[in-house]
Amino acid sequence: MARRDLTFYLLCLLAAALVSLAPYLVFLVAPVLPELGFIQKIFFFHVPCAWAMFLGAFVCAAGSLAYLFRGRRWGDELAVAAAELTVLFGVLVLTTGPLWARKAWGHYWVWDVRLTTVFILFLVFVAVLLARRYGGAASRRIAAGLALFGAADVPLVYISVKLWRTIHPKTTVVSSLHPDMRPAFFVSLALFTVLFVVLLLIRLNLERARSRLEDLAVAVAEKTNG
Amino acid sequence: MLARTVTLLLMLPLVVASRAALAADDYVPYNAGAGAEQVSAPLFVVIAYSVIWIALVGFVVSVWRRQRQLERELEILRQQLEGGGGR
Repeated sequence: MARRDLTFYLLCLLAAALVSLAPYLVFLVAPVLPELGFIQKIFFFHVPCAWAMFLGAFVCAAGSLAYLFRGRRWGDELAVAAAELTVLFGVLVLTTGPLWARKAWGHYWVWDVRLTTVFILFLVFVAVLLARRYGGAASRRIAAGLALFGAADVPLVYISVKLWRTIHPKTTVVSSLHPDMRPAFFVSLALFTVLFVVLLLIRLNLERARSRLEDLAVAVAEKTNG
Repeated sequence: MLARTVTLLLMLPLVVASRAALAADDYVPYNAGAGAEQVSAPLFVVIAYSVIWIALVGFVVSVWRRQRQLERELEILRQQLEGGGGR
């Protein structure tokens, strides 16, 4: 077995272990504080999803930089794979957050600066995927440029609750967690990080195969046309 | 073109900081609506938890289906090569 395959299977095993452990810690070990209520359980999945979304944006930007400035093909493949994960975790962030908000604020959505900047981040990466798919000959470069703008939004999302007075919980919510909630939170964070890596490897594998197939199709066309 | 893009990206924090300074005095405290108490917290937690796992499994299934599609396309190419172009 190749070392790469072994690493992948070990990561899958780790993800499986964390998938079993995280719900146990979140639902059975972490206390329900009266001032936060049971709805606060969403926090243990919402924040790790946001973390995975940010990771996706940064990985996509790194791949895009490698493609734009160095012409690396793997950079483009990595960027597409990571952009898709950014959108996937973005959907989860924009679903779990409003469910919590409905109970906590009485509304699914308010145009708070944190929510709005996350929504913009999500839309930029949807645009990256659309550009990549329908952008024609220059689609790779257009998508790479868009991804850099998307990644620039990530620090803005993070500091938005510090710069503006928003109703969204501050970044200090993690450091001020009840001690009995910390294992649940950090195990969940580890779970989503490992899941992100596993999904990225799976998606990257597909993108590489697609890329090689395109090369092969061109070679076959050239051969058959003489 | 790329230099302009990078310059714009670098200017973004300045725009943010200036906007933040302007907005500092606009804050209006937010009060949760009366509807907040009417929704079932356990139901919402179950929905959120389900959505996450359904989406993740859906993504894996989607990648698997695309992989199968690629394998079919590869097989067609192989047949074209073996058949001297397949035309």
